[in-house]
Order: sequence, then structure tokens, then C-alpha cells
Amino acid sequence: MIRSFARTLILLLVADAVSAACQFDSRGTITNPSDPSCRDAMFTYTENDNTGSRVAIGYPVPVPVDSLTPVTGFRTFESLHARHQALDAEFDYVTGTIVGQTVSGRDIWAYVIGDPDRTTVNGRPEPAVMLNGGIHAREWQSPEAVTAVFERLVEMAGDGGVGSWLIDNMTVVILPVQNVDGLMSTQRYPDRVSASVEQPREGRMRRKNLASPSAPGSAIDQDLDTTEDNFYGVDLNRNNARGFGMNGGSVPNPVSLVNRGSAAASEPETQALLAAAALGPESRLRFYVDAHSFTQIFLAPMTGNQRRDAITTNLATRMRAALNNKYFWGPAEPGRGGIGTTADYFAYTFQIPSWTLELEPRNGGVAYGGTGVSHSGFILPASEVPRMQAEIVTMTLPGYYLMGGAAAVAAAEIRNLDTDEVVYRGDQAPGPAGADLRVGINRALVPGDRYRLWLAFDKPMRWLGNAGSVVSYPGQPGALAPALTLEVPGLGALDLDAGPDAWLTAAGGAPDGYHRYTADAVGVDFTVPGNWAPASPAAAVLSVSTADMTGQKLDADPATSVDWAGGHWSGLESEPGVAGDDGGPDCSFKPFVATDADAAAPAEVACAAFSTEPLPPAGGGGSGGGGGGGLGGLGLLGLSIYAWRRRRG
Amino acid sequence: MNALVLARPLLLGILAVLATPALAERQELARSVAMKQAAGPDVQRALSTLDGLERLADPKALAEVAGKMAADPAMTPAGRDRLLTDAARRLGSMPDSAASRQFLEGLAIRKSEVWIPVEETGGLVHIPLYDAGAQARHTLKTLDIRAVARDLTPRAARGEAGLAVEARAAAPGSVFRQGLKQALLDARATAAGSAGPASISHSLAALLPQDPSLGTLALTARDPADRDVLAGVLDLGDTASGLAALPLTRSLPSPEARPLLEIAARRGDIASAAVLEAGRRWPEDPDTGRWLETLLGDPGVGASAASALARYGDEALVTRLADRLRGEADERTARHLVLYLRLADSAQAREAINRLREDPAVSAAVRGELR
Repeated sequence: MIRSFARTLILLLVADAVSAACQFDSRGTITNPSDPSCRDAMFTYTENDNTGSRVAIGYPVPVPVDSLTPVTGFRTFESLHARHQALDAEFDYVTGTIVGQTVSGRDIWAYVIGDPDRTTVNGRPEPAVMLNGGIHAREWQSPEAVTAVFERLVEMAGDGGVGSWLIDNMTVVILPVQNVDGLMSTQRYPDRVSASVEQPREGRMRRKNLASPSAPGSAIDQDLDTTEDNFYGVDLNRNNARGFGMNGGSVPNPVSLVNRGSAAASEPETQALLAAAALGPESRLRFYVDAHSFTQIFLAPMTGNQRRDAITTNLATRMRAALNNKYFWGPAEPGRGGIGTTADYFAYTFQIPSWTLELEPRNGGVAYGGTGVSHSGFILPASEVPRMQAEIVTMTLPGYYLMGGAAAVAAAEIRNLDTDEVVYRGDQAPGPAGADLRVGINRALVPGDRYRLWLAFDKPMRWLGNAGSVVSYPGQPGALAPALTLEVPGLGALDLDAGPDAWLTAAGGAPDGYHRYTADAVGVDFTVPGNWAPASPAAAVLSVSTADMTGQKLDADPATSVDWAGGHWSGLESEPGVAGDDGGPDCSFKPFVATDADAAAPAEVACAAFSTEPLPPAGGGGSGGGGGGGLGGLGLLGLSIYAWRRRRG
Repeated sequence: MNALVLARPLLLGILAVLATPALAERQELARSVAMKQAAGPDVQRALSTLDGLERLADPKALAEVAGKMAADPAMTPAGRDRLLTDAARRLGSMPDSAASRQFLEGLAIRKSEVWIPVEETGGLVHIPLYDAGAQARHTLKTLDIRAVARDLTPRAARGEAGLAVEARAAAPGSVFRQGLKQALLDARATAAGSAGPASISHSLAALLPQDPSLGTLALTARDPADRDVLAGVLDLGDTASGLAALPLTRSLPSPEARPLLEIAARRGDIASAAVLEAGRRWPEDPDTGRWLETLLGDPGVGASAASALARYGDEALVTRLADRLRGEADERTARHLVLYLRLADSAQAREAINRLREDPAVSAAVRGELR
């Protein structure tokens, strides 16, 4: 009887405490922010303790660490900033700039990674890509991921390959922490939040900046325990010009998580982002990513510009493949118009590939053995940080590489292996708008003789593994071996068969070394078939169908340099005169075959790769590996080609 | 009566299964709708009931009542998700029992019925508002940890060295190690047992060369005044324990702390953190300040040393290091001196930057970094 009474009494006593809580409207906005039961409620995240106001997340609650170098966990903002500053001070190809101040007056820094000349090795203006981090304060993964990309680019800068090419030929703009105030605020309370377990606010779960609604430009305090202002702030990812206040993505309510602010770009942090973009400068931007967490997805605006949208989709496909499609693809409805995110701004304003990258996990902390408590997806276990960073770097590099533009052939040399005489030498001399083909030597290839082809490209074409040998980049399509064919109309097509080792990784240039960067050139030995004995000199074409390490085909016409305009590639041809976004084979270099080594060069012929007529297979002789015989892939492929069309000459 | 008692766990299991909508449709609801469902009067009453049962420390009753209430057809899906999650959470704070374990095991495979959109994704991605399955799995784990801790606490209090060997045999992150950690804490909390964990800490530290992941346990067991175990972890513990050990040096006087930080600064994984930790105490410890200055040319921690020195706006140091930059022949050191001036961020440092930027005694490359 007494026990029963006690039970009833307890149930009555606790009823009020349980029912008091934050209330929400249909947009998820708290409707009773002044109610002490909501406003003043405090919770503490723990690993396993669920008692009272403690909320177990199921794994150790990360606490930021003072360390400039990466640790198994998250670094404090001060350490991240010092790290960025150190990379700036230590390396000439890193340049830091204050691009604005937060609403509290803290400096916001952006960094340009790239050599100071801002031109490619071919003397053209560099393309720029941009990576933004830390726009939402509680998404601690973001600054770590962005900093990891920063660190990796610096680390790779001297690798002589892709890293060096990126430094020499691209401008990477990185804004590691846009919402400095917010991040510092969350790090001040790494395990505490207010309001509601279901929609925790302030402390570790602050999302917005510190803008106070009381007066424009004023800031709230960063004290979790002064609860009157804990809900305030502007969502910087709803404060941008394209789609501002549209499509139901934001609300004009300072309490809301998606409060858009008083006007587009009203917030100083948003203005700082625009100033960072100007470092590209904007006109050179080709790619923008805003790193967030969580849900593990690319949220990509589709502007309705079909070519731009297709390029964006292809780019995402290549990057996602690098992690075996671990990340999901979330394209918006084409032309929907955006909701004021930074990704909307860059996609619509500059018509470039642009997306919000939501880092892992997909569904929440349960992915790491956690309790799955609401919003634990924002709390990546410290132990997972290094892996997450490595994955983001792996995914990012092919994206930057791809948006650097399609590769073009740069030079070719054919050398007689018996006499060591150079019988063909040509190059694409770079000019401001494109390259001019220069052929310095063009002597006959004699049937039965052995030759070495050295062919160079204007970017590294393959990735090198840890052992220094050519390997496939994770998830990228295509063969490692180069695809080269010597076409001789009337005689046949000789596949210059070679393995991945044909890519040159030692310095020195022709005939055995790379051109400017490791794996930007191939060296292939071949023998002109002995039964190719034309009565008169026969024009030939060196057809280069090699794709780069991401599967991107070549610029078929280096005479017009590849650039970006109007939401698509410009100067990228699938064959001369046929512009597009896919690229094609290169047929710039045109040697010839004659039984007389001193014969004069005949008129040039067009390239079978640009036509649909079959070439007969080579009748004899051979190719590859020092001059053996045999037919290659293109000879067989030629059986399916049905129209041979001559072009010039 | 006996038959009913025996049947009760089974009944609870059945109820839990009934409450497990393995085949139920997943509903994607707006947050407000889901939360309204989950906060209805019936749910509030149910939560109040569970709260009372928790206070009465009756896990059997709580599991049974939760199962019954969740099986009520009138209960909304979101309310059911919340109720079961809450029950699973509360059972973790209550005495272990076969009934609660059976209930939790039934829940552990449960999928949430109601999912809500994540704010950022514009409705593309949904997450459970409440995840009773995940909570149940976690509670089962905590019950296991508590059971291990209960068994090991007496042994920890006695200082049984064999516990260190057993810990080494268990995997990092295993229930045994987590239980032992709790046992060490529990034993230390009693005056009678406080010496035991300290003894075990030495056994654990002795095993660090073979298993660095024992560092966290060694720190847990350590007597707060014990410098040797701290040194051992800073030298040989894994990264997590090394990082955890660094702040513990703050309780030591500088002459004792500095050698420990120097040990840590020789480890690549925590070197920067160790140097920054030293930066907390250099103004009161000139020797630490001098040590940090000697590190400025170090390729591994030179930047960290610059950052550590910049922690406090010391005018004399700004003057001295600015002068040093002027005559510094080593470019790496010079760049770290530049970094120091930039991070010091004082009027005096900015003045030095402006002055040195025009100073031909500084190399052109380094002047370029004086921004």
C-alpha cells in the first residue's frame, strides 16, 4: 500500500518535468524560445552515461586538441589557424589573405595554393577551384577535411607529378573556417548543449553565426549559460544571393536553424566568402565545394544549363568512384533556383560545378556504434578523423585534376633505335589562345626498322603508387597502358602496343624521361612492318587515344586551348572543329613511311580516329616491347569502322 | 504464481517483438509532425510511468510496462519510437536483470518507424527521430561493461598485477577493457582500494612497449602524483593516451614537467601537441621558453614552437625574436620567426613585421611572408 502510494506520488511529481520541453512549428522552428523549460534546458553529452540530463552518444565525446599537425581527433580552431599560417609562412606557393571579419570582429582567412605567377606552364591564366569549410559551426569534420586537403596539396607540391602540376597550373582557394565565431563557440563547450535533445542548440550544436537580431552587425555572447540569446544567429548557408529566401529553404526568424538573415549577403562571413572567391579570381573559377556534415551526400544544384549540369554529374561520378561510391549523389531539380546556399551561389552565378558536400555518416552516430541519439551524426568519433580526412583527400584530388582541363599532346619524337637518329620531332608551341604545331624533323619511317616513340602530354597522365610505379587511381576507369596507333592509309594501322611501364617516371625528357612531370610522357618501341613497302612515300598519322588518369579524353585540337566559359568547356574538341565537353583522340603528329629513308614527306592525311571508315590491319612486322610483331587493339577495332575519309591533303 | 514468474521474461520478449515493427512501413515525417506525435499526452503519460519505475529501480516492471504500452495500437509510431528508446535508455541506469536483457535484445534489431529530414539536405536524407534499436544495443553494452566492472573492482582494489596481463589479451575498445577502466575508477574511489590501481598502473606501463594501447588504462589507474607512469605513457602510449597524458603534466612543477614534454616532443604523433602544451607554461618558466626557442629551426615542430611562444604577448620576446629574424641565416628558422610574429598578433609584432618587410637584411623570400 505504501509502495503503491509512493509510486503514484513519484509519477505525479515527474509528470511536469517530462512534459516541459521545446515546441516546434511545421518548419522545425522552436516556438517557445522564451519558455525556461526550453530555453534553459541543458544537456551534457557523455560516452555511456544516460542519467539525468546526460545524453550518451555511445563513444567518447571528442574534445578538440591543441596540435598543429593532424591528430587522431579534432584540432582546436587556434591550432588549425596556426597550422594554416605555418603552411603559409613555410611555403612560397601558399598565400594567406584576410578576407573579412566575423560578426564578432575575428579575422577570416583564405589561402591560395599555387605558384605565384598565376599562369600555367603554357603561359595561360590558371583555372581556379575553391573549397569552403566551417560554415556551420557544429560540423567539426568540415575544417578538418578542408585542412587535410590543404595539407595534402602542400605535401604533394614537390612530388614532380600530379601535385607539382596542380601547384604550377591551378589556383586552389581554400577558406578553412568561414564561421570562426561559431566554431570557437562550439569548441568552448565540446560536450554541452541547450534546449532539447531532439534539436540541441548552442554549445556543441551551434550551427549559425553569432549575429544578434537586436541591432545589425551586433553579436550575441558565446556564453552557453546566458540562455536568452542562445537561439540567435544567421544560417550562413542560407544568406547567399542566389535563391535567397526562395523555395522554402529558409525562414526569416532569428530562432530558426535556417534563419536567412535580413538580406542576401547581409552577414560579414558571407561577404568574406565572396572576397575569398575574388582571389581565384571569380572569372577563373571552375569548381566549388562547400564541406559540411553529415548525411554523406553531394547536394548539387542543377542550374538547367545542360552542359554544365552534365559536366557536374560526370565530375561527381568520378570523385564518388574514388571512394567506391560511398558518398551518395543528390542533384537538385534542374533549374529549381536554389535556397541561398553557397553552392547555389557559385553554381548559378558562375555556372560552374558546385555542390554541398555532406561528409559522413549517412544516418547518425549509430554508424560508429553510437546510440543514434538525435544529431550525433555531427559528432564524428575522434578515432575516425584520420580515415575521414584520407578519404576526402582521395576523393578531392581527381576532381581538381579533372577540372584542370583535358590534357593535350605536347610533343613527339621518333628515334631510329639502330642509328639513334631522330626521324620525327614535333611539338605544340604554346600560345596565348592555343598551341601552334611545329615540326622540326620529319624523315621517313622505313619498313622493317625499329623505332622509339616518345610522346609527351601537357599534364601528368597517370598516378604513381607508393612504390613509384604507375597505378590506377582508385575508382577511375580506363587502361593504364597508353593507346597509340600509327595509321597509314593504304597500308594499315599499327597498334603501338605498350604496357603501363611505358609511362616515364624518370627525368630527362626524350627518349627515356618524362617531359615536365612524372608520367606525362610515354616511351614505346615499335617496328614498322616489313611488308609495308609503299611504292611512294605514304603519309601516316600518330593517333593518340589515351585518356588521362580519370578517364578524360584528350583535347583533339591543341590549336585552341581548353578553358571554361558559359558553363561548359571551351576549346575542347572531340576532333578538330568539333567542340564539346568530351574530348577525343589527338592526331596532330603526322610522320610518313617510305622505303627510302631520304624520301620527301608526302601530303598529310586525315586521321582514321576521326572517321568511320575501317583501316585494314597491319599486314606484318610488329610493334611494342622493342619491336616485336603483332596487331594491336586499334587494328582489330578498325574492323568495325566503316568509312575512311580523307581530310587535308 | 511460479509459472507466471517463469513465463514473464518470455512474455516480455513477445511484447518486445510485438513492439518491433520489423515489417512496418518506414514513415518520413516533417520534424514538427514527428515531434508532435512523439510528444502526445499518451506518450507523456507513458514516459512519466517509466520515470517512476526507474526511480523504483524495477527493470522488470519497466520492461514489461514499456512493452505493453508500445504494443498499444493507439500509440503513434513516433510515440512508440520515443517510448522504446526511452525505456532502453533508462534500463542502462538500472540494475541488470535477465528480463531487461531479454527486452533489450528484442529491441536491438528494431528499425525506427519514423524518420525526419536532416535540415541541410532539403528533404533528401532522413534520419530516425528516435532509434530504439541503437539505444538498446548501447544499453546492452553498458550492462556488459558494468558486469565486468563489478567482477573486477575487488581485484583492482587489491592491485592484482594479473589484470594488466588480461587487459593486454583483450582488444582495445573491448568490453573487458572498458569494464576494467570502470573497475579501476571504482576501486580508486574507495580509500581502501586506492593503492591497488596505482600498483596496476605500473604493470600496465611495463607492458606499453608491447601494447601502446594500454596507455589509457595506465593513466586511469595511475596515482595522480605518479610521474613515472605519466612518463611511460608520454613515451610509449598510443596517440590517444599520449594526448590525454599531456594536460596531466600541468599539475607538475615546471622542472618536472619539461623533461616529460621533451619526451613527448620527440614523438611525431604528439610532438606538436607537446610543444603547444609547453607553451602554456613558458612565461613562468624561462627554461621552457628557451627550449621552445631552440626548436624554432626544427622541421617537425618549429612551427609549433613559434605558435607556443606566440601564445602570450610578451613584448621582450617580440623584440628579441624580431632581432633574431634580422640576422637569421637559416631560412626555415626565419620562416618560423615570421610565423611567430604573425601569430603574436600584437601592435608591437605588427610594427616589427612592417619594419622587417623593408629590411634588406632579411632575405627576399622571407620578406615576402611578412604580411
